[in-house]
Amino acid sequence: MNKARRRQLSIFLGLAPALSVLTVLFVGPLALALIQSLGYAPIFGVREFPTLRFYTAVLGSTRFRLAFWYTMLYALVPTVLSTIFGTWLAVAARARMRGVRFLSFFVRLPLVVPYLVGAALVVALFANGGLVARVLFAVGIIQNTGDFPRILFSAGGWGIMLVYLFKQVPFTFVVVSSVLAGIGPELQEAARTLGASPWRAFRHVVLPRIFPGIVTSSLLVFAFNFQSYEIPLLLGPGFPGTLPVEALRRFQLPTIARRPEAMAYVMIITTLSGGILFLYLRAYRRWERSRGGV
Amino acid sequence: MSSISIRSLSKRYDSTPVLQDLDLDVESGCFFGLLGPSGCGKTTLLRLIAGLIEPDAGDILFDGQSVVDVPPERRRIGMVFQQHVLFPHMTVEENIAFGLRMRGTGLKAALPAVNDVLELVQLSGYNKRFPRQLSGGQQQRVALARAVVIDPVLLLLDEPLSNLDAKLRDDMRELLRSVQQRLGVTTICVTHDQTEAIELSDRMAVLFSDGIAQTGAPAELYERPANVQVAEFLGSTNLIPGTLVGTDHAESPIGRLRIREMAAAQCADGDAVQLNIRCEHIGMHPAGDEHQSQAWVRLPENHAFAEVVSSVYRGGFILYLVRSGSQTLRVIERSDRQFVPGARVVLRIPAEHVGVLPGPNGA
Amino acid sequence: MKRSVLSSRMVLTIAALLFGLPFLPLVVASFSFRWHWPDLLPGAWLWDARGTTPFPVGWDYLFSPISGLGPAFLNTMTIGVATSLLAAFIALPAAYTLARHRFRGKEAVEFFLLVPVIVPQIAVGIGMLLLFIRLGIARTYTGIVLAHLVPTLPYSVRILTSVFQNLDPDYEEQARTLGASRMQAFRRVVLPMVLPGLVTALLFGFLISANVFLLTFLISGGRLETLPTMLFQFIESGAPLDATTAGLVLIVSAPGLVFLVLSDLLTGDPVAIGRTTLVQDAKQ
Repeated sequence: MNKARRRQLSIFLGLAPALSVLTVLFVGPLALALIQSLGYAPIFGVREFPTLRFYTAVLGSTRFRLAFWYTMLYALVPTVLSTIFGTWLAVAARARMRGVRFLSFFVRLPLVVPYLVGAALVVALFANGGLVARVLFAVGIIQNTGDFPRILFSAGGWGIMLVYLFKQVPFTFVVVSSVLAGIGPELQEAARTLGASPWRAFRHVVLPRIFPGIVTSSLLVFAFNFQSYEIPLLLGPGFPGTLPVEALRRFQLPTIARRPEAMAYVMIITTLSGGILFLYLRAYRRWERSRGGV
Repeated sequence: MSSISIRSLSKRYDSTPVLQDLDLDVESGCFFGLLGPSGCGKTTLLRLIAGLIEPDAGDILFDGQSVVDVPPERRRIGMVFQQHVLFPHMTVEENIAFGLRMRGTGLKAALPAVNDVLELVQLSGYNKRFPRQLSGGQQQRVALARAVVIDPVLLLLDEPLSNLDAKLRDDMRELLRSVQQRLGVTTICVTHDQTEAIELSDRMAVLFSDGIAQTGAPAELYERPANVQVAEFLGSTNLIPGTLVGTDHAESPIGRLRIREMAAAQCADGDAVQLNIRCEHIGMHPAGDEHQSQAWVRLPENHAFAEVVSSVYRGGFILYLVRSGSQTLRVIERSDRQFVPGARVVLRIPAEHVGVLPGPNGA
Repeated sequence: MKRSVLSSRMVLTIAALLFGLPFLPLVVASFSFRWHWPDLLPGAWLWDARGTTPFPVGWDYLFSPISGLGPAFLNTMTIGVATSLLAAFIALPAAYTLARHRFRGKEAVEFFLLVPVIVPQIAVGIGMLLLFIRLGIARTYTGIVLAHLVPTLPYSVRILTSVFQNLDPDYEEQARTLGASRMQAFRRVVLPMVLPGLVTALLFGFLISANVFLLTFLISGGRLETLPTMLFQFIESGAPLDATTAGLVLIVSAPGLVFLVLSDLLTGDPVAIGRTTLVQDAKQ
C-alpha cells in the first residue's frame, strides 16, 4: 500500500506545477471577471453583488447583437473555406513527387508568422491604394482608387477573412497532413486496385480516417476566429466591432462604473464560444455514433 | 549467483488477473527456460522478478531473502530486453559501463571489465561504435555483455532471440549457453519458441494463462507431458480419443493399442483418455499385397492400416497426413522413402511412445 | 495516375505562390523611398534618397535608435526565451506523468490543460490585467511572461507528452535493472533521448510567445514594446506599401522563418508541427 501512496504522490507532484500555474493564471482571471460581471467590482466603485444588470445591459443592446452576428460571420466563413482548401491541399501534397517539401515550405510559412503579418500583407495587397488596385488600374479596369471595391474596413469583413484564410488554410494543411502521414497510403491504394476512382477512394477510404483531424482543426480555427481581437480592430469597420473588440471598448469606457459590462461581455463571449464548440462536438459525436463508431 | 523462489505470486492489470498464485523454484546456477504462448504472463513474471512492476500478492525470494521491497536498481540483476536493447545515445562502451557507473565506478575504471565482457561476447574492439552502427545480432550481444558486466546474481532474458533471423539465432543461442556456463549465473529465459527453450534450458516450465502447467527437464516435458495442453504446445503430436482397457491397453478409433506404463493411479479402467503419440514416433511401412497384410496383422506390436492423404516435403523429412479408420494422423518420416497420396500403409506405434493423458477432451 | 500527380503538383504550386508571393511586394516596398499610386514599382529607392532627407527612412529608420526596434526586438527575445524555458520546465513533469501513468481523473486533467487554447484570450486578459495590477506585476517583464504562459503551456505539455509517449519505457527499465535510480534513469537516459523533442517544444513555445499580441498589449499597457505590438502601431497608422512597415513585417516574420527551418532540420518531417497541434485529441 505504501507503494501505491508513493505512486499517487509522484503523479500529484508531476502535475502540481502545471495545474497550479494554470489555476492562478487562467482560472483566477476568469473567476475575477465572473465576479465583477455579477456586480462585485470595488475598484470601479461597484458593489451590487449579485446583479445581472450588466448582462441585461449588454444583451439588450443592438450593438451587441450586431457584433455577435458579424463575429459569427467572420469566424464561420473562413473556418469552412480553410477546412475545405486546407484538406484539399494536404491530400494534393501527399502525391509522391519531387518538390513537395520545397513547395510545402511556402504553404507552411504563414503558419509561423503573427496574424499581424497577415494583416500587413492584406493591407499591402488589397487596400484601395494597394498593389491589386494598381494592377487593375494598369490594365484599365479601374480609373482611380475610389473604383476599387472596399475590401478593408467594411462590414463585409473581407480583409479580416482574408487574413484568417492566409493563416488557417496552412494550419489545416499541416494538421491534416500529419494525420494523413499517420495512416499511410496503403488503404487508398487498395481502394484504387478495387476499382475506386481517386475521388471515391478519398471519399470512402481516406476521408473517414482523417475526419477526426479535420474536426479538431476546424474547431481550433473557429475558436480562434471567434475571439480574435487585433485583426478585426485593424481591418474591420469602426462600427460595430466584433465581440472582443466591443468588450475591450467597454473596458476603456470613461464611465468607470460601467466597466463591469466588459466583464459581462467576456463572460458572454466565453460562454458563446464554449457553447458553439460543445454543440459542434456533440453533433460530430452523434454523427460518428450513427455510423457505428464508438 | 542465487536460487530463486517464487511463492503464490499474483498480479492483475485493471482487474484482469495476469498471474495467479504462481509458485516456482529455480536452483542456483540453473538455466531455466520459461516457455509459453504470447499473453500467458511470462513477461509479466520476468518484470516482477526484475522489480519493474510490483506484485499484488505473494513473495519473490533470492537465496531465501525476500526482494519484493527492493527497488530494481538494487536487486543486482542483469536483464536483456526483447527490443530496443541498447541506449542509442551511448557508445557500446558507455552502454556496457552504464551499470558499473551507476554503482559508482568511473568510466575509466570500468574499462577493463568492459573489455573483458566484450571479449566474452566476441566483440572486442567495438568500444566506440554506436548502436546504430551494429547489426541486430551484435546489438543483442552488447546487451548481453551489459547485463553480465555487473556480475549479477540473476540473469533475465526476455525473448532474447526473437528479433534475430534464423542463422543469427543459432549463433546467439550457442553464445548465450556458453556465456551462461562460463559465468555460472542463474538464468531465467522467457520465450515462446519451444526449440529455443528445449535447447537452452537445464530445466524449464510451460506457462499458460491459468498458471504453470508443468516443470521439469526439457526431455521430460517433451516425452512425458503432464496434460494435453503441454503435449500440443511442445512439438507436433497426435491426440487420439480412447478408453482405457485394464491398465496397459486402450481402445481407440485406430484399434486397440498397447500403452506406455502409467504413473500410479493416473487413470483407471474404463476412463476416457487422450492418447498422445508424437508424429516422429510412428513408423510407416508399405502395406504390400494381401499376403503381406496378413503377416502384419499377426504382429504383436501396435499397428494400424492407413491410407496416405497428403504429404509435405519439409527438407530432410516429410510430413504425411494419413487416414486410419475415422482418424487422421500426422506422421513424420525420413525423406529417403516416399509414399504417394492414396498409398496403403501400415503404421507401427511402439507401446512406449503411446502416452496417456487424462480427460476425454483435455483442452 | 500521371494526370493526378500533375494536377496535384499544380494545386500545390498555386498554393505555394498564393502563400509565399505576398511577401515579395513587401521586400520591394521595404527598399522603396517613394511608391505613389498608381506605380507598379517604386518611383524612388532607398539608396537614391539617402542624404536628401533630414531623418532616416525605411531600413535606415528601423535600424536607427529612434525607431525603438532594438528594445522591441530584445523584449520579444527575452520574453520569448523566458516564457518557453519556464513553460517547458513546468510542462516537463506534467507531460512525463501524463505519458507514463494512468490514473483516475486523467482525462479531466488533460482537458483542463487544453482549455486555455480554446477560451478567448480577451476573457483571460482583462481579468489578468486587474489581477496583475493588484499584484504589482502589470507592465513588467514578469507579468508579460506569466501572461504568455497561458497560451504556451498547453502546447508545451502536449508536445512533451507525445515525445515521452514515443519513447519506449523499455529504456528506463533497462537503466533501472542496470542499477540506476529513478532520477538517474531520467537524467542519464530519458532526457538525452528526448532532447530533440524538448528543443522542438522550446522553439514552439518561443514562437507562440513571439506571436502573441493581445495579452502583451493588455498587460504591458504600452510600457513594454514587443515586435507584434510595434507592428500593430505601424499598420494602424501607416499607408499600404509603406517602406518602414514593410521592413518591420519582414523582421517580425524572421523568428517564424527560423523556427520553420530549424524544425524541418530537427525532425526531418515537414508536418511535425501538425502533430503538436492537439491532433491526438480528435482520435480519442
